Amino acid sequence: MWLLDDHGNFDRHEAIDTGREIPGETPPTALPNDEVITVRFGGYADGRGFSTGNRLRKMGFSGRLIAAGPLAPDQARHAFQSGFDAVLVEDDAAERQGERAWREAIKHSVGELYVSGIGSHGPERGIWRARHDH
Amino acid sequence: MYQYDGYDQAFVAARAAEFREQVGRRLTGQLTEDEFKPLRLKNGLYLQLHAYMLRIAIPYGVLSSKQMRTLAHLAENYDRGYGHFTTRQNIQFNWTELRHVPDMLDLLAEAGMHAIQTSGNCIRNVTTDAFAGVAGDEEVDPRATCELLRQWSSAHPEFAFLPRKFKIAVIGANADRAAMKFHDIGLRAYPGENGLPRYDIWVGGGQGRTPRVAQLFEADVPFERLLPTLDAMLRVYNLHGRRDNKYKARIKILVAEMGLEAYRAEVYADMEGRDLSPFAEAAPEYERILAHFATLPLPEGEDVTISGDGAFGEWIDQNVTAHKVPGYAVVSVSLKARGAIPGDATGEEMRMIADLAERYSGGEIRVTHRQNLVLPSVRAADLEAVFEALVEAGLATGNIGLSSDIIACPGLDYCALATARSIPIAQALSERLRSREIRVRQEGRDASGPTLNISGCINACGHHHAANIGILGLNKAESESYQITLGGRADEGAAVGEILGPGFTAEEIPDVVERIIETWDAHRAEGESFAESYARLGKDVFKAAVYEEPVNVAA
Ligand code: SF4
Repeated sequence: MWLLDDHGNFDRHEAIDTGREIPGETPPTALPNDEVITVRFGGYADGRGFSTGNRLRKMGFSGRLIAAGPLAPDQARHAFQSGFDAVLVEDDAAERQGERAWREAIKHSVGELYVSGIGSHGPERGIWRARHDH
Repeated sequence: MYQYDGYDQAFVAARAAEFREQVGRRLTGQLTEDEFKPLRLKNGLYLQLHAYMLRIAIPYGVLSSKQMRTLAHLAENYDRGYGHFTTRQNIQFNWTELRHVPDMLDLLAEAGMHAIQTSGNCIRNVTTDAFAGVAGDEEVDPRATCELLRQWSSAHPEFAFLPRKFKIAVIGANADRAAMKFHDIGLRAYPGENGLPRYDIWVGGGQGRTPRVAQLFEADVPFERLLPTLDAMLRVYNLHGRRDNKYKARIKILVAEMGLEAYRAEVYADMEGRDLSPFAEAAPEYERILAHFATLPLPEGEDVTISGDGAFGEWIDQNVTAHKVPGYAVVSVSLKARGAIPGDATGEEMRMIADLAERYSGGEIRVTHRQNLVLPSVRAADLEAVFEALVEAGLATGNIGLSSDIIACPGLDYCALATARSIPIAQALSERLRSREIRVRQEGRDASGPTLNISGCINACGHHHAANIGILGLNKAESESYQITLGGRADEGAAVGEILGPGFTAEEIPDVVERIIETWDAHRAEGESFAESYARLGKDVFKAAVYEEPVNVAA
């Protein structure tokens, strides 16, 4: 299993602490007291996990948040910007999609956004902030 | 009009570079077609029947002459010499090659344009009134809100993989020239405090197989709460919208199944206790954007009344509208010449409009949701010269708002989802209706008539539900059959049309439509519009006229 973190490190690990796993489609209704939560996305085009990440951060979850499931490198920034710390990638996906594509995922993504959300771990500062916060 | 600054420029360039890299990984097989599809769709690239189609955003329908020339260049170098303006203020190129698309995007980025989110299950190009900023009845210029929403929604990390597409329209006048209530979210802006608008937020409108007029979500929302509310509305939709059936995945179905009250409660619960600091700069940003639209570079002109005879008179009556500054006029350029394909323009025509706009309209052009173009600020004294130039280019058809001003989707000639053709139907109807309009006008009678929209399948991109006469192409027993709906409206009295009865063949359609119009003429009260007569008469009189005697179709 591979892990891409929000600093751009992409490494293979024999074992990864994924903590408590919750499905992307059901954001918890109460603040979990786990240190690590893994949100499993139901499908590549199923964006519910991003909102679940956002909800967890809104609730005040300050532990480690990992995105797992059939994601593509192009979605890494979406995960970080929705409050995730890392993306878990299966071996076969890393091989097919390319180690380099994952490692350079953030570099090749749109780096800057107009609005940076609460709890974002993305590379953006926020264009509105840059324009007005002198 | 809005001008990109360095940030906007860098943003579209980064998006174009990202897409170039994605195309590269698709070509080497690192991305499967399943993985690539949502990525290319998010950038406006469809696989059609014959080729890739690239849909380019014309945010809120505003184009500069320079941008129009870029589109002309793309039409001539990457398509077959023309482009197709759509009902959502986009332009489509139907004959592109995948390997050329990154270059097209670079050219667009240089001109301050993009194809971001013109397709896919994300927040689409925000649309508005094509007369925004110049209409005499306007209370708030909706374009600043549109640009604010364009920026907020572009590359939004959380709302990029929604259950289904998401369309937003904004208007700022009582008259609805943007079919606002047929959008997932519709906003009506009103003047508020300190130059910031207030909004009525409407939700759950849409067309497709379950057409719905939007319901009022909340009235009179202050500016500060607009983005936090939209953010929560989208999040609840993202989490709860159906993903098991694409025909039930739009927000209109969620709102219908949950009930508006329950949906509202979920939205407010999501908003509760949220840190709103990401939106702290929304107000200064709105003001910054507004400044781009604020000054009409127009010295007040003399308030002259222009009238004329013949074709010029008709053009003045139909295509020229009052401007909010005296001495100026809003000129619509019809892309619905007799027998033409609605919304199509050649590169040459685009260039000619760009030149005219530069010379007579401050270098600005608008694209309307009825698939026409607008020169928004023409001096009344220049109208005749503009008309003559348009005559020379074959673009002077004086039929804006008449029945021959038909909306049609591409249908089976291009679209992979189509069940029937729509372009040839539109062309045949245009021939028939245009000759009727010319005849009626020559007789000194009123040539106005019902609005007429055509879709090539139930997805309703041709807005047939929202037309006074809607035509839907279906495939029945392996042949095309056209179903007619009556009484739909896209304006402030938004309504979904009712099905008239069994369908017709393509050949029968012109006769059937003419009969409907004649029946209306015969029963119409003085000055009544088709929609008003239909509301008063109901469908039976039309049904009788259409079905009692078979239509004769020349073999
Ligand atoms: S209505 Fe149907 S045929 Fe027409 S463009 Fe939309 S999907 Fe294609």
